[in-house]
Formats: sequence, C-alpha cells, structure tokens
Amino acid sequence: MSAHEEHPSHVPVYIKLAAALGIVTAVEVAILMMPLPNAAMYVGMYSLAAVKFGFVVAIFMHLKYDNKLLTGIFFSGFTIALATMVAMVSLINYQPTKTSINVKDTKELAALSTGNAENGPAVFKAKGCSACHVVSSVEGAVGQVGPKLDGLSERAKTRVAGKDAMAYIRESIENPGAYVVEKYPAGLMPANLRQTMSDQEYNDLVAFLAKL
Amino acid sequence: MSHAAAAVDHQHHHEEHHHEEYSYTGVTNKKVMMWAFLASDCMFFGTLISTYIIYHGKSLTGPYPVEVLSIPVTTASSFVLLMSSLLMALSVAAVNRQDIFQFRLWIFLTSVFGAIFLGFQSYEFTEFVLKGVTVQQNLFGSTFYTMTGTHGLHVAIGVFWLFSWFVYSFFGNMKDKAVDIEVAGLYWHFVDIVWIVIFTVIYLVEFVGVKA
Ligand code: HEC
Repeated sequence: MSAHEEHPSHVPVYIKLAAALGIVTAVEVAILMMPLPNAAMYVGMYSLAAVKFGFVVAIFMHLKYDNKLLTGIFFSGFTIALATMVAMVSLINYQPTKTSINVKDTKELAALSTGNAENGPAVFKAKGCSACHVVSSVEGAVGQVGPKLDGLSERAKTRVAGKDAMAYIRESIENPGAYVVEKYPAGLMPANLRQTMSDQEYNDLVAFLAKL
Repeated sequence: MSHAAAAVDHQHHHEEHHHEEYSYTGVTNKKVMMWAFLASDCMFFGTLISTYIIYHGKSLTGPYPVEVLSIPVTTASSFVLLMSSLLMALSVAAVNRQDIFQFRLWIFLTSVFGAIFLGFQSYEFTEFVLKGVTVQQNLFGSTFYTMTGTHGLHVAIGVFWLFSWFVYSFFGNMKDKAVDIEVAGLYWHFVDIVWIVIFTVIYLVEFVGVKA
C-alpha cells in the first residue's frame, strides 16, 4: 500500500483547502455585485474557477502526490476536451433564424418567419408607403401615385404565375421592377425600401399587407 | 479441478496480504482505469457545455436564462457540493488509517451532502418547469437540461456508490478496500470540479453586466 499511503498530516490541508474553496466561491459571487467593467468580471470569474478546479484536482484528488502518469492521463483528456470546446465555440457560425427552426430551404423559412400584422400599419406609415398608396384601414394612407392596396392579398395570389401571395408581396417591395402593375410606370416605387427597415419591421409589414 | 482450486487459493493468499493489482508503473490498475474514465468524461462534459455556450442567447422564445437562473440557490448548492468533497477526502484519509468509525461518519455525510445537492437540483428543475422552461420549450431548455441533467445523473450514481460503501462497512472487511474508496473518491471529486465549471460558465457569467 506504500504507493498510495495517506499521510495523516493531509487532513489539516484538506480542511484549509475546503475553507479556501468556500471563500473563493463567495468572492466569485461578490464579483457580480461589484461595480467592475465586464471584462474584469469575466477574467476574475474564470480565473477563480480555474484555481478552484486546479486545487481540487491537485489536493483532494491527490494528483500532486501521485504518480505523474495519472496527471498525464487526465490532462491529455482534459486538453482534448478544452481544445474541442474552443474549436466548437469559435468555429460555429450560428444563424439563429436558420437552425432553430426545422426548415429545408430559404423558401420554407420565409413562409415560417411570421411578422406581427398589428405592427404593420405603423411601419407602413413610418416608411412612407402612405404617400403613394391608399389603404382604407390606415389613416393618412391616401397617396395616389401607386395602386390602391386594399384587397391586395387576393390579387397577389394571381399576379405572377408560380408565386404565392407572400412571395409576390415580398418581391414587390424587395424588387418593385420585377412585376410592374398595369397602367403604372416602372421605376416609380423606390427599390431600396427593404433596406430601410429591420427584419422584424419588414416581416410585420408583409404580414399586414397579406391580410389586406 | 486442482487448477481452479490453486487459483482460488492463490487469490485468497493475496487477499490476506491486502494486495492490490498493480501495473508496471506501480499505480493500481483501478486508479489508472478511473483516471482514464475521468479523462473521457472531461470530453463528454466539454461537448455538453460548449453546446450550451453555442446556443446561448439563440432561443427564439423565452423564458431566457437570466429570467430563471437563481444565483442564491445555486451558490448554496455549490457550497454543499464543495463541502462534500472535503468529507470525501476525510473518508479516504480515515479508511487509510483504518479508522472505521470515522470512515462511516464521513462517507455517510458525503452521500447525504450529495443527496442535498440533488434536492437543490430537483427544486431548481421544478421551479424552471413551472416558469415554462421545459426540454422542448427552447434552445436554452434543451441544452440546459441535457447538461445539468447529465451532471445530476453523475451525482446520483456517486451518492448510490458512496452509500453502498457505507452499508458495506458494517458487513464487510474494509482492510483491503482503501483503493476502492479512493477510486470512488476520485469520481466524486470529479463531479465536484465539473460543477465548479458549470457554476461559473452557466450561472455566474450569465449575470455579468446585468444590473441586479
Ligand atoms: C414613390 C411612390 C411609392 C412609394 C413610396 C411606395 N410605392 Fe409601392 N408602388 C408604387 C407604384 C407606382 C407601384 C406600381 C408599379 C409597380 O408595381 O412597381 C407600386 C406597387 C406596389 C405594390 C404592388 C401592388 C399590386 O397591386 O401588385 C405593393 C405591394 C407596394 N407597392 C407596396 C409598397 C410598400 C409596402 C411601400 C412602403 C414600404 C411602398 N409600396 C412605397 C409606388 C410607391
């Protein structure tokens, strides 16, 4: 049993270590309440966790006193784990709207990304659509430059063969020149309107138009 | 049959002298095996933790971690687990001294502290579910429960293992069991260091820059 004999004097070391670990944990939590810059908090917390980790492994788990082979075995696994973590976290380029919903392609995604139609009128007014289009349910939407948008959802279904209402509405905003409504001049509706709004605003607007 | 008899006799002879199986390196095989297992377990938890990190902040619906994680509750449970590590170290020290009374006391308390930790976790999970965080709710739920659930399962196995040794000590001879207890202890401390990492990376860091 000589290789792993417990030295009796380790017990006081264990007790001191446990006390230290308790204190360090308290300090970690205290860091959160201190008026420190975020970067300092991260550095503080991660290094304290690493210190705790190291001491438990070295003292409680005896690696400090044991055969170095064991340290080698453990830290080779640990290093691979850490390297994998760093690689995964830094290499994965996550696109929230595309991986958290189960869609096969962008078309399905577009159909899924639902806006809130109730916010539509506000976007419609804010982005200046009112100046050219009439929508009877929207106050101030009295512009005569472009076609009246009342009843759009019905018309949109049949405007372009192979495009459903949603796809047509999106196209007529993203690329107004792709299909020009009869009797109206091409190039009058600004082509950059999509770029003036956030994804959320855009989805809300489209959801609203699809109900007209 | 004389072969078998000789083998039994041989084994018996070994037991009388409290021999352990040693590898060429002079380290007991059981310890080498446990460290190899822990090295691989590092990789297991490494991927679970990085998966949590990768999907952090990517949930499309709430509840979000910052709304449900509780620092006070988790600080308390972390403290319990840290102290159980001390109790475990004391158990190993006691069995090495063949102080069976102290061994029973410490190993019993270690498993009780482990059970308390599991109690905290059940409380936390229940609270979460009541607040709407389920495995299917969002990315936070899926990754959080997979990771902390795996850790909890490790703790549960540890509690069972340690408590079995407590029971065993009343019926069996602890003379040649020091290595077995040390190996169980390694497992237990490992579960503690995994929690040190989870506590910092998942709980504390979440609240950096969040004004209480
Ligand atoms: C400068 C005037 C002008 C502005 C501003 C304008 N449009 Fe238009 N819009 C037009 C004209 C002209 C047409 C018809 C010609 C065409 O299809 O390009 C049209 C066509 C449309 C159509 C197709 C209608 C149909 O019946 O097929 C939709 C939908 C539409 N606009 C939505 C909008 C939205 C939404 C906004 C605000 C983000 C907007 N427009 C801003 C002038 C404008």
